[in-house]
Amino acid sequence: MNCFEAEEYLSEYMESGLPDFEMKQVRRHLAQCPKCAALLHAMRITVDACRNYPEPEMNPRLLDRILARTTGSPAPVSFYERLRRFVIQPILTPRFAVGAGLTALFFALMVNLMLPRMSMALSSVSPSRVYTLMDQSVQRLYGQGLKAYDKKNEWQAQISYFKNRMINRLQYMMEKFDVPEEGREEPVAPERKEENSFRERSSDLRQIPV
Amino acid sequence: MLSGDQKLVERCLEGDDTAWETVIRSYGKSIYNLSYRFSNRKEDAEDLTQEILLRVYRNLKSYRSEAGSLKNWILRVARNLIIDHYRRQRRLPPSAGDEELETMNIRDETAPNPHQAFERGEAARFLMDGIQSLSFELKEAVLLRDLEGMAYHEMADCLNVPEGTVKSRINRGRVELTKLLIKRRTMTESQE
Repeated sequence: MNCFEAEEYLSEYMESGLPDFEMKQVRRHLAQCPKCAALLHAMRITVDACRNYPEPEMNPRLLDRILARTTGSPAPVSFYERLRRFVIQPILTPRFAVGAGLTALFFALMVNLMLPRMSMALSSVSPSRVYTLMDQSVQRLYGQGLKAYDKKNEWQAQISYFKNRMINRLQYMMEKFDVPEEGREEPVAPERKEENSFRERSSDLRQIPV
Repeated sequence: MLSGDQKLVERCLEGDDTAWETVIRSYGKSIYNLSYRFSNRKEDAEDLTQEILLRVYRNLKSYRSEAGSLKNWILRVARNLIIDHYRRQRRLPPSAGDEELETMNIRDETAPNPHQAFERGEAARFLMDGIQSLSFELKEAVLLRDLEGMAYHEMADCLNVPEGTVKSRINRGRVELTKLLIKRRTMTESQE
């Protein structure tokens, strides 16, 4: 058997699919020919690589789209499938996980900063002590609330002061420069109006041919 | 006595949507994989899958269980459309940069770390480039046998050729692919 003939049997030899006689002949040739032996070795690696080739990822909505195009209605999606598609899958993406982690951290910091702190120790775990601590915390919280309410009233007063001041200044400027208000008509004296209407009537008479 | 495939097809023809959904869910992924491996582009693979399944839906009444399994019948329909697509694509100039992007679409969950995933991705790209360089017949034989794991008789049924021809094509495909990869690897190493 020469190299050309051996090459034709390599694939089936690799899969042990040849009859005994051909198997022996190919084996004998491979023992004598390092070039064909190397080719068989490389072919094994190639076929292994093909068999372990990663599967392409398919868009999960592709089949739904095709179903909608063929039967006219999308397939009913089970609750688990909906949960997986709209909740679990988005959560598993790295971007969402990082965002959710940062949000949780932000809220934890906010809670830590804003809520009243109780200095707890092992000795303080008695009903009266816990009551005292809670009472103090509530008092502190109430005080903070009162302060916030005062602050709000103060801001409200300041805002209304600035508003009134601005309105007064505007009114003063308008009076000073005698700016007529928009849409206001100049009053016409009644005698003048009558005179005008008479003039109009007389002009109409003048146009009548005699 | 009707076979399981024939019954399923009969139900589809009677307008049973769940039967058609069963067909789509059973063979949709295989068709997508095959389309992706032939076209090497995600968009083309999606279009091809859609086209193939629509063609199957329209021609379901021509299926006869005596002529083979439903899977092979669908694969024959797929093959015809993939050949049409291949011919169309051959006339178009190749677009640069596509392959690089398309490698990202391959999911390799077995890689223990990103570095190894990248290396495996590179190796997969190298292999797929080689497969794409084969002639259509040899590429088809290698893809169906070594990537899709089809048996010789299934391939003979699907490709409508004798089993001996299938074996011969697989052998030639594997030998050519191996030689091509050895040559390319040697060239890359000599450049480095």
